[in-house]
Amino acid sequence: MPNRFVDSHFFGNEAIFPLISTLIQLTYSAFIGALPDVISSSRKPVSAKQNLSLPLTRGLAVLCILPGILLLLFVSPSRADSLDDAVHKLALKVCLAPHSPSARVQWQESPEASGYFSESRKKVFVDQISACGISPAENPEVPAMKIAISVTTTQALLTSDSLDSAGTRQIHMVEMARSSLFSPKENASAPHLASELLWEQEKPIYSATEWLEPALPQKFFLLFTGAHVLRYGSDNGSWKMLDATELPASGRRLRRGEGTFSYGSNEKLRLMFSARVCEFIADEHFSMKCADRSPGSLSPAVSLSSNCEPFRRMLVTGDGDYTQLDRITLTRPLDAGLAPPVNEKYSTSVDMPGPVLDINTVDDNRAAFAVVLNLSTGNYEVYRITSVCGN
Amino acid sequence: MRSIGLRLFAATSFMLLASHCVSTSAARPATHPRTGGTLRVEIHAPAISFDPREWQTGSLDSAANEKMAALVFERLIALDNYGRFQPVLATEWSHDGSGRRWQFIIRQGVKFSDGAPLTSADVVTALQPLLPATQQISSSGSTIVIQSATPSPDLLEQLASGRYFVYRALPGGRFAGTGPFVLSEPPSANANSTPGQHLYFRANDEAWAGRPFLDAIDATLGVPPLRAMFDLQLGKADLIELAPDLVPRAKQANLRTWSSQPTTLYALRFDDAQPAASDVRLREALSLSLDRGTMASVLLQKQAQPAATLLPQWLSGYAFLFNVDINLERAKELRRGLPTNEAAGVEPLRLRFDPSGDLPKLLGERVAINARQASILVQVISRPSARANASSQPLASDPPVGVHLFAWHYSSLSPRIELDSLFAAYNLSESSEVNTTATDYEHLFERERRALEERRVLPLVVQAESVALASSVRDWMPARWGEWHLADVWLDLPASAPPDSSNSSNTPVQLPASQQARTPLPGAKQ
Repeated sequence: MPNRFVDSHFFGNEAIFPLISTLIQLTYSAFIGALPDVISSSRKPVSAKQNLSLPLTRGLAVLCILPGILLLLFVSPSRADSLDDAVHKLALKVCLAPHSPSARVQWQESPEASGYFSESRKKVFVDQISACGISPAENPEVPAMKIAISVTTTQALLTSDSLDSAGTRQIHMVEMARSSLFSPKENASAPHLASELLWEQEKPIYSATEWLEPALPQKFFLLFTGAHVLRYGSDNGSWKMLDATELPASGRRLRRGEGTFSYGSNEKLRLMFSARVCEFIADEHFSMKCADRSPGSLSPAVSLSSNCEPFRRMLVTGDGDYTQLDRITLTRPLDAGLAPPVNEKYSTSVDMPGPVLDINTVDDNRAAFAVVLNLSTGNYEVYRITSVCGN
Repeated sequence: MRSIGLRLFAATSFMLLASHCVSTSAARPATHPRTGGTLRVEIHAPAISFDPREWQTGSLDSAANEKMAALVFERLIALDNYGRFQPVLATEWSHDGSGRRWQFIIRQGVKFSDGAPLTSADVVTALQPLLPATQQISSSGSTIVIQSATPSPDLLEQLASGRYFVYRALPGGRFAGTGPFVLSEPPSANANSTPGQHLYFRANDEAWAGRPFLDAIDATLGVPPLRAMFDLQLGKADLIELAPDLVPRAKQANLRTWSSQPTTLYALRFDDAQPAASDVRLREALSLSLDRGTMASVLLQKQAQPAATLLPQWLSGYAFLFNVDINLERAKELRRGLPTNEAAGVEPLRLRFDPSGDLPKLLGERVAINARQASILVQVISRPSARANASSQPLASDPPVGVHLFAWHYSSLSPRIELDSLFAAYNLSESSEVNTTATDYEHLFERERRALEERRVLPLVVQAESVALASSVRDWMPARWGEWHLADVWLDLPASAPPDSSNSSNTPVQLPASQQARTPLPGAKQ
């Protein structure tokens, strides 16, 4: 997408000259203040009154500062490219306007824009206003400077609300594209993964799933052990085995990872293994209807939906072998039409106690079911994986 | 345990199906949307206009018009719920350094519902009457250019919302669109199933973005809110508009509900026709007496928020910086400083509620009660019922009115355009010190702050739109500002449901705008 905003907001000429001295101070602080303190041979800071630099060096420094001043004058202070940029520009606005000598900085986040005021960003802001003579204070009698972030349909707005020395309210704003708020680590509204242990046993489990049979309707827990499909029904909060169905001969014994449950387009639960595919008929007498299938991947793409996003995200596992610990990661959106920007490197993961042998989703993609070989105990475990929002 | 014998093996067709499903399952979600069914929608509006040129910006009618028009028309671009613009009829866009000249590339291969291909000339013809006089649109090849007299950094917000639909006017006052549905004649079996006027939309099989999942949408107009809720509970409707006072009731009945961000502003506007209204001290006293919190929580059943600004927080981002504190002592003090014969009984301040319906009347009465607590006498005047649908212009015999209670529906996603429209609609003057063409939020804040300080207009509450849905409605993913996105919706119907008979109709019928009768239907709420 092209650059949408080329801001035409400049300072008026009459405002330029009173600002220059402040800008010199700010820019000098930014450039020179960033240099390490001068340390004497005694390892103690040298007094600032000592003249340790040559006049020529200082002249060069001023020459270096001038382009910065010009840049600050002609770059719009109302628009930012990122939240970090916005924090910097808001501090600049606060400094350039009338202000009180000290302020009690308060950070306010809105429900729709929370998790963005990291400690590092707060520190950058406080350091900048400190550099222009506003002392941060904790004393409740000191006037508050409220820094807030809010979002509109397309923009994010960073605002400061404070009183200057004369008691006049000073409000400043910096806006940025709302999409620039996306941050992999600080986006609290994005979903994250949660895992819950459902089952464990010593004998191998190839695949497992929960299945709500629409025709009954009743929820079952199904385990595929390589030769049988075991069906469990819910009984007072625990699973009680209902029956076990033997698989038709497939020609050879299956190895781990050679069978998985999947969800058919006709709402039927399927079990794919080797060169066969079986469709379950869930009635009083649980049975299967099987057919040959064309060779191909046994691992269909698995995606999860959540309550905080209108699209599903892909689930991926690690590429290690069965001897390694694994993790399940929530990654890119499944539907490209609703995909966040390509530069959004979103991911959240949940660690597993061993390799993930199988993972599948059924019923609305609200949960995935992972079979894991616990490398500490040697047991096979089934986890329900969900994508949850907030806390 | 039951073994599976050869007798259970499926026929060859099942094998082929199974193979196909396995080979294509890699990128599919587990629950596939299903095609078919008719979504039965019930809305309050007694009539719909499909001619965007007729829509009055800010009117409550325009909200219903937009919702229905979005089924048959499309805009150049759309805004998603994440603040990103998505291509619709325009595939690319760019602008010059000043933001005055914008260029859009029109999507190729798009057809109107009457079969005519979409051209850039069609876009120009559709949008030119809708654009303000300061914006000129022209076409060249597959490109259109919008040239503005002043920088328009918010042009995308402008074009992604409101009435900026691309349509094709046909002879006889009919319209054709490129959207997911086509306005059509209802199948004979459905024609008289329920009383009220129906709009029947069938799926557009030729829609460039793909055929919608639904076969059809049957919209019944002019349905009173309570009846709509009963219809939903009885399974006669799938999607209904909910009046604010019914939302708690719907929730208690375990109905599935959804509410948008606040989309309608209720506010007071002072009118110098009554001399008392021109006194800023009276206006301030009235403002300080208003208990907006009670209006939002009691009268609107928490389906609204107290409003201190003209623009809502979700649109401006700065509304939270304004306060709506009630201060009766200060209000009384101001009142005591006014001439004794002013707004105290000799001649009460007359308040007229302009929009129809119970809610504006209740709000007006609440304003009068609050004002009385500050010793300000307010007389609420209702419009004569015979003139309920007539022009809001007063007759010569009407007593002069000092305050109007008005409703404003936010239709633009650009806060600047929305503020401009409000200022223009209600003749709100602006200080010459304010840069009215600036688009940055700091300037918008300043414009609104100054206007509110004059207290020519007093915001009361901002109200959300609410709907209730049947459990069978799936993939309901509306925009938070109220757009419904029904092309994405599908119905979770039993697999044995017969195909919709309307699907056999292939002849689109574009109803003339003039046929969308504006006569209220029996039972329609006024």
